[in-house]
Amino acid sequence: MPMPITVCDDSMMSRKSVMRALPSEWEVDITQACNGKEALAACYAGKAEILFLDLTMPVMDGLEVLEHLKEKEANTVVIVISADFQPEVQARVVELGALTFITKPVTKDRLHDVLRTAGLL
Amino acid sequence: MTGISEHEAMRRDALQEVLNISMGQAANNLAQLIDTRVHLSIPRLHWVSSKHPEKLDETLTVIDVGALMRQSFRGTLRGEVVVSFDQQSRHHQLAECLGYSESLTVAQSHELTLEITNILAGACLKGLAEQLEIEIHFGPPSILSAHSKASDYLARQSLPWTDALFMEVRFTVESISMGTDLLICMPGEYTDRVFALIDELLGDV
Repeated sequence: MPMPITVCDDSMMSRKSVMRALPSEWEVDITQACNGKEALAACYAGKAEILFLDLTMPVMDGLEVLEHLKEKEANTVVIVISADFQPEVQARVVELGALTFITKPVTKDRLHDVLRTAGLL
Repeated sequence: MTGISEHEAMRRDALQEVLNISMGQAANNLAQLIDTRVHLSIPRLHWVSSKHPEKLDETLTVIDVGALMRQSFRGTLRGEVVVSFDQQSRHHQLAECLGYSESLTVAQSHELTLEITNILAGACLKGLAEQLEIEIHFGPPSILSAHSKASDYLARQSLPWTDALFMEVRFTVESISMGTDLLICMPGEYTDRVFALIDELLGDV
């Protein structure tokens, strides 16, 4: 059964970059979300075993998504991919339950390193 | 999609993301300098043609009259960045974070604004260069005017620009809200080159 994954970013190019960087051997069912609200809907609909999440987005930002998921004790694995990589931000996303943080632009090697370290690859 | 083609929408999305990543670097540089979290708004982008300078007024929604700075660049792309600073910004608080005394002299105020221009324009150009894999060199920033409308300046000057990429971004540092309009002005041939480079980038994605 394919693994449900959601890629959330307001940029189409960034969503595509993440999708192309996913391990080719993974069998996945990908949902795309353009903002945090859509990402949360995907999570609650069971479409996000793993959520790749941007932070700076319209409608609902990534930190709000993490706050919601923490409050609901959701078991979605969240990997934050953001251009805003200030140390305080990185610490905050981990505190809110994200597995890890990747600085944009994402590369295949970096993503695979992170997935390997997390035991997901 | 209304008004623009899907390809054009993808180009704009890609350029916006490239600049968004660059502004993330700028925010990080500023945060390191003042040792405080810097919040960054989502940059808004618009192209304005020199044939319709009146459109600048419609586009410049954050800042009406501000302190104007410039920083020129050359290399694969050529042009200049014009940064307009909100004069309501409480720069003295930022100055305190940077170790200036409480009452800023005019010279210190200019020095501070030039420093922030260098951070913003430098990160923007460096980010463009890195992501588009091109070379861009830029000189030091200078003051254009302490109190002007960017649209008036651009309409008056005989700068060799035909298109300006207008980016509106707001940096917020806790109690200090600092609004800036950042314009990347380029002659038409370089604008075409930007889009050719963006197309190459899209081809790699």
